[in-house]
Amino acid sequence: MDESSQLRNIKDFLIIYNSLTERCFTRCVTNMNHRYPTKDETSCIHNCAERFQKGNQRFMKQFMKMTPEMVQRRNEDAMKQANKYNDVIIDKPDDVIAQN
Amino acid sequence: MDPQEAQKLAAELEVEMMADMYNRMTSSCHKKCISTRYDTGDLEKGEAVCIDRCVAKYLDIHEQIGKKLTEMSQTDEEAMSKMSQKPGIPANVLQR
Repeated sequence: MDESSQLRNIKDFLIIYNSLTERCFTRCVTNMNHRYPTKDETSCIHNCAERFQKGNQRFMKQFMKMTPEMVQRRNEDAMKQANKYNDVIIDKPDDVIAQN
Repeated sequence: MDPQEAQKLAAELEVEMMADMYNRMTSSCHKKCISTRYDTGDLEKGEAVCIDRCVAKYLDIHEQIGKKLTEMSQTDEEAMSKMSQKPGIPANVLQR
């Protein structure tokens, strides 16, 4: 893996880490009467992180499955458009094409 | 990449991420602690205490989540390497 994509991966991971912390903190920590997180809050945080991770794995799996199909469909459409254009040009006689 | 350059990049990344974390923390704690009735410009005592606790908790939780994420990704990696060591496992099983 080349350096720039490695760096991008690390950066992506850190951004996800920060946004996960914010999200879990917002949802789980409701009691500002104590300086340390309560047991409930701690277990909520653990569940939040675990569920996020599993959800993320599933997202990736489906994305990897569906993106090639979408790209292929898009390429086929592009080919069709290109062929249509070629057919239009080929059917015209040479002097007409030269004028345009 | 030479180690010095890598170190410099890592330090830059850390600073950027700390800044991002700081912004998110202040935004979250502001929502939780500071009332929107702006009848006075001073912080009330309750709000000040709330902010102190909020920052402390946020940093604790940041640490806990970091540990949990590394622990989970290590478990994933171990499971993947164990499965790849077993002979005759078809590729579609490994992808699960």
